[in-house]
Amino acid sequence: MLVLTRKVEESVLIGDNIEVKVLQVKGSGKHASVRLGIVAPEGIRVLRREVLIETTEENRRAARSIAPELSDVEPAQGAISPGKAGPERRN
Amino acid sequence: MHMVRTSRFGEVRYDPGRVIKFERGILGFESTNQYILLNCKACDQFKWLQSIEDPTLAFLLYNPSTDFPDYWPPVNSKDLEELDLRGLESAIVMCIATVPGDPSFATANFQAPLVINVASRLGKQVVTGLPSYKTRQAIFHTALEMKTG
Repeated sequence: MLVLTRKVEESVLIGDNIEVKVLQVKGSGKHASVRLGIVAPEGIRVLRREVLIETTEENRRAARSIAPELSDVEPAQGAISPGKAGPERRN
Repeated sequence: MHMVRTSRFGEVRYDPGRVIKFERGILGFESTNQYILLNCKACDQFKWLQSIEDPTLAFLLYNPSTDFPDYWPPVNSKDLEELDLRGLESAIVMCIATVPGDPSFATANFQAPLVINVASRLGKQVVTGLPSYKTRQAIFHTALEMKTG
């Protein structure tokens, strides 16, 4: 892992178009927190790591779901209709 | 027609041309990439996503569009590219449901919906990162209530 020390208002650049800037540092020791500002292109998703962990855990819970009242099934025939199963298009 | 002997639904026949590929898998199940969709006869707001590689693996999917018409997860250009999509109009968006022993506590993951390109049969779980979308959105009062009593 690359480790850098930055002061408030200083940045690191990742590749050609991602910037991570330290905006504020609060507290000290284990309770310290750092407020970051991130500039990245539209196609780069920035996530808090916990969000991925939560969804991974939720997927594992979901895979254990038993819903007998919904378990009478038939193969989806014909085209899947996006109009029926997807959100309505906006803009 | 191919056949998979599933743990939940018994033998299921499917057209191999209708298999949906999740190239990155589903979070926590990254090595399982091929699924088929099964319709719930009881309620058309639900479908099952059955793995054809792991017969014991299936996810109940919930279509939020009726009960949550304002639900509109952000999908970025990279997601669209991976799914070979130009926009969401030819995609279906469904959320993985978790149904515990008591279905009144059923939830769906609005934080990370599945987006499936209907035509190319490519799917992806898109983690939105938006704090307003819950990992456990209660859905009992809308869909399961009537169906499960």
